[in-house]
Amino acid sequence: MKRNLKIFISIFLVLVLSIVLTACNPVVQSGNLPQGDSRSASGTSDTSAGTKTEQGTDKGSTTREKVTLRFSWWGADTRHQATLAAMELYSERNPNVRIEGEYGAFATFHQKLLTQLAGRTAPDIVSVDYKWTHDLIKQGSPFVNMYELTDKIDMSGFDLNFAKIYGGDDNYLIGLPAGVNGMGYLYNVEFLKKFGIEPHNEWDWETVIENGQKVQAQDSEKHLMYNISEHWVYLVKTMLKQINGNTLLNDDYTLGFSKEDITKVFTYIRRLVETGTVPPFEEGVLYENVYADQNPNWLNQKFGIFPTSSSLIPGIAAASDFELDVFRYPVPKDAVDPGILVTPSMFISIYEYSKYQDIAADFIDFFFNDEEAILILKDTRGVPANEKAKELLVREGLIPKQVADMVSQSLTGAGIAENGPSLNPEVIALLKDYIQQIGFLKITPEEAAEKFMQELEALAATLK
Amino acid sequence: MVSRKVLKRSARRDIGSQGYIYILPWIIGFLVFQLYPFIASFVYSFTDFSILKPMSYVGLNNYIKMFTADRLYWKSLSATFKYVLIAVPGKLMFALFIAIILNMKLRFINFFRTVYYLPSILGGSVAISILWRFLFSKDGTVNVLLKALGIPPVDWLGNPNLALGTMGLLVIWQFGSSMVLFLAGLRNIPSELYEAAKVDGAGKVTVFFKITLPMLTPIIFFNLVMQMINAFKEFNAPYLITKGGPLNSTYLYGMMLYENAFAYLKMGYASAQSWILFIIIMLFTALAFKSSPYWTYYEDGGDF
Repeated sequence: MKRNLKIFISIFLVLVLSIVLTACNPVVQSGNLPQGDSRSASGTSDTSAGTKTEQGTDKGSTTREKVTLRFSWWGADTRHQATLAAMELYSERNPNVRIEGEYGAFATFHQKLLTQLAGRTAPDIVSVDYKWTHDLIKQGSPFVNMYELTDKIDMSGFDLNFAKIYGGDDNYLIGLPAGVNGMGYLYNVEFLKKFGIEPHNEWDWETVIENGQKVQAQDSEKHLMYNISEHWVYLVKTMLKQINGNTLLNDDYTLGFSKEDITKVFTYIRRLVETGTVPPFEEGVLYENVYADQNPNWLNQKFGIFPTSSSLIPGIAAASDFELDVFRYPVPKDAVDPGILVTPSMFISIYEYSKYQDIAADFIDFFFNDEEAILILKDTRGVPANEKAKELLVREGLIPKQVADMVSQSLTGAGIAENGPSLNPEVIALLKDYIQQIGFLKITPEEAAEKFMQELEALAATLK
Repeated sequence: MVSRKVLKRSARRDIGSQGYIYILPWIIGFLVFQLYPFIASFVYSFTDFSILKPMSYVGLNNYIKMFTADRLYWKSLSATFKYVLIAVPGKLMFALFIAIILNMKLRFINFFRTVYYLPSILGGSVAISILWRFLFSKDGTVNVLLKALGIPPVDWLGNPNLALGTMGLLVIWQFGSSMVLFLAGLRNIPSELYEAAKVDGAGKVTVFFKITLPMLTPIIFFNLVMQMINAFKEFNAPYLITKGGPLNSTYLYGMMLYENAFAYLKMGYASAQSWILFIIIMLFTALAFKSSPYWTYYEDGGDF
């Protein structure tokens, strides 16, 4: 009997321990568990919502149940605060709905999203970058087709033709574009003035070099501009489009350029480094994955021009304590295609396995069309792609001049759209590698051109 | 007498099964979180598993591709080997050095021991990695100090030849756990040996090489194996500080695995790579074990 008691007590203790340890697991983000588990920290979904098996066919306003939606996005502080404020406004108007934000930096967003999609734990409303839409659609795209929601969301202000360039095709639209982004040159007004450089909208690639040399001649510690790793890729793609009107890879995964074309581009990159127009790669490589607002060289005015996309301007401006302005990205007079990259800033999509698709659609309608929401969100996601929103903001003077200017400047030189093959991450990694080798002066442009083409062809063949 | 024997046997059986029940939580955890993924990744390594697509069997393709068609594989492997050669001896030597210092009888020595252990606790965090970036940038603290000494600034993390070493410094800086073990080992050396050496008139260097080091060999062996395994798997440092670094000089194996799995969505390929890493680590660990009888000295003869 004593023996049995001992066994019983030990089993009991072990069970208690296991339960206590597992139940005390901190739930990192509320709503992490897909089916509205009643243990989730959101605590606002009661058991009846948890046991619903229909796919979100109840609108939150008709049933009086409390629901919690999750919305994920990336960005800087200005965007986070604005989005949170808009979400609160929606909750005030619809007291039974609570929206929770999952936000952070862009760098890790993609991988997190993929993991969430694999584990079926993605948020109800997801931000999707135009670079990922091709891959996502190819691999089964778990997002609701926006064309099917025209009765729930007012899409009259959207140019759906623009949206479908990157977001799908005639039959499927992955999400609604939140804003328009254009590439351009953001510059430090004082810096350019000090070195006697004229910012205007007719620069071409030779102007860049000339001015780069001008800066170096006056102060060898300073450089004209700095390109982050992503931007070198844009530079190559844009130059190629200007030379031959084509994307990096064709839709059938064959090379979209000739050896001559790519040698020209690589030679130009080498010249940028040799003339000191950009800082030596040894110096610059540390900051190649962050934007100007986190680059001490920009903040300390060691270089004057930061090529960027318009949506990043508010974040950079907030960190810079000097005057900023913009001018158009270089386009040679004889360019076949002006090539400037104009893209949707992000797509707002509804996750296919969300339990509250209707409420999500209602929130998205509010997000894009409600005047108060537009005024809160302003241009934190770029100049709005929705015409009505854009006009409202322009009327109220809420779009910073630089952002609006950069977008209109880029639109005057908008290039052909990027395609899926050219946006493949392995292709980009290969290109970045070669740019680095050229930048570190380890390889000549001609050698680089030949090897790059060989490797790219081999890689593209495996990606078909 | 018969009843006593019966009692003994059943009592033994009792204790045995009770033991299993006590470690049941760990067993469950091991099966679910370690054994299952272990076997699963082996299975995946023979497929083209990708997070979003259904998988299909590809046989040994992943392994063949790894060795012949992956342009970064050998670079990454050689960078990892170089890194292990820098980080492991570096960490051990530094840990031993600090342990010897901390073994002295000073006042507040316990305070110093705590302080010197701190880097290990702070070490792998994102904040420290960012701090490292700032310390070693062109106008970072290290270069400022060098300037004060009249040496021109160095691109510690930008120069492909230096980046690996600089990154290794971060890991060497987290020597705490090795140091604690060395400290314990030092205190276990019988003081009679030191006294005898003093009587014989041996100098400090001789004492170190003839007494301290040989007596510490079991600890050195343990630290060597543990740190070697950790160094081969290193991921945090390259990911947070250099992202693979200038010209892939810090593109360690762990980072390559991660990119293949999550950036390029090639889970099956990454699983194959991880198994090769496992085999490499096993080989080196086996080598260390096989060689240990020749250079480690156990006071109790070495049998457990």
